[in-house]
Amino acid sequence: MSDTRVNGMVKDIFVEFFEVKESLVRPEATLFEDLGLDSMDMVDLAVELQTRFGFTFDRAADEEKIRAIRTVQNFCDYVEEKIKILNIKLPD
Amino acid sequence: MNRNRVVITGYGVVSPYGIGAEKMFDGLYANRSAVVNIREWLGPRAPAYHSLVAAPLQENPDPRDVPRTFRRNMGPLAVMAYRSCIDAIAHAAVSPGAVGSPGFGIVFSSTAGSVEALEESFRVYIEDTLRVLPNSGSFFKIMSHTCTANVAHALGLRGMAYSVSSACASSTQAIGIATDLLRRGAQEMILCGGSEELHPLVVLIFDLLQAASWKYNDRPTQTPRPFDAQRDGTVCGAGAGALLLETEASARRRNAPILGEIVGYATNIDPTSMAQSSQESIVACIRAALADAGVPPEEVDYVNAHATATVAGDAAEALAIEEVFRGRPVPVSSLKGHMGHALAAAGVLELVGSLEMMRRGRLVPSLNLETPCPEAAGLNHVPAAGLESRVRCFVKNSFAFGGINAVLAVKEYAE
Repeated sequence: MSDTRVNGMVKDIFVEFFEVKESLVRPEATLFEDLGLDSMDMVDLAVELQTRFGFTFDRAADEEKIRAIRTVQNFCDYVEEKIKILNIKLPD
Repeated sequence: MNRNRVVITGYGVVSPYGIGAEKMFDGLYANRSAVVNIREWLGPRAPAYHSLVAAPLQENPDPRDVPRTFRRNMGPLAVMAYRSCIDAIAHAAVSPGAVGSPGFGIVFSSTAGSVEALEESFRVYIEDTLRVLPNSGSFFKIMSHTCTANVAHALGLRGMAYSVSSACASSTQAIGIATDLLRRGAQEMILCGGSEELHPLVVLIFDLLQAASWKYNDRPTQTPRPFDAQRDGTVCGAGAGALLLETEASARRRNAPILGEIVGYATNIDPTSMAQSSQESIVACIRAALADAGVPPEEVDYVNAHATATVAGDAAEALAIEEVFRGRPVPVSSLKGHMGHALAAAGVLELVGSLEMMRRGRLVPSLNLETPCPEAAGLNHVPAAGLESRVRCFVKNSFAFGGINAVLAVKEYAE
């Protein structure tokens, strides 16, 4: 994980929204097995990205990328990539 | 035709008085009104309302008591339903193994899906064109079978699951349908009841239809006034109630204490008015329930009336009760004066209240009834101080917008 602001915001989503214990949110943790999320949670994850980061989604491109996410690190990488593509300014 | 006897072995209650049946019984027996002025709650919308009274929950079930993966699909409506159901299961001391068996079903009801979730979904849809719904659980909160499905998932049920939606007759019909399923042996145990969340939109609908009380906005505890000459409409309430019904054989096999027996059920529809059931249709429904029970009118010891305190509704019900029980002054009361009208949950909450009256041998009056209206002058109203009276059999009435009537007959259990 490179951008600490992104890492912090991602951790907040897992802890606040999905009620995952903070100590479990490690880069190598898998979303389904380790954090206990399921396919419905992936829908809510996208909604949270819209709400917290202002993301918009290109269905064709994003669905495949989201489906490929396995770990917290994968997820952070995806979020960072989207932030760059969408040119989103994060609060300092 | 041989049919199973159907008994009540547990109940769970979320009423305006709080969580748990004892709080409801305390409120009822103290003749304490749960009705309050809601001007502040309505906020800037208040000027649109004539009616500024309601009976909200004084204590809400904590959604955090529900595991997250179930909670995400529940609006307040389903959370209340869940709480009433787990309390009913605990009350009946049903084992977890039995709850997850194919013979354990659910028949739950609500007027609609969660109105709060519906409002939020439409707000997001209208205000934010890039989002469709607030989250993945939105539909599961809004759908009309939200209580049945959510409770069934959270409890791991595997039997029959039905959802009933008939406004103010909902939970009475749910209990009746569950009774029919148990009688024919389709299930051994069924959770049944109803849930209703209070939302400003619901109050507004009753207001628009001129069915909501508004003359007592500054004296909220004096309304609604069932059967009273000065009544001016009903007061919307909230809550959830669940019964654990089972076949007599099932209850006896596990030595469960039996709280009462559902002996009769009937339902019909009056196609002449959407807003108001006629006296004739109510008479027909009560008579059909008594016929189903094999109980003549003279063996009924108490009638728990629907009586929401609307001008036309109370008059029709009073005349119908007098017509059915002519010649015998059966004690009558309505609990709407205490708790307001919890719509889909009203039938089951009032049935639980009536069960307690049967257990204690003491009847609760219609709160705020001072001078009966002319149509109700011939009824034997439970006196304001209450009435010591042995109850072996009572009748519970419920009538709904849409013209749906539902009546249950309940007896003290005897082998």
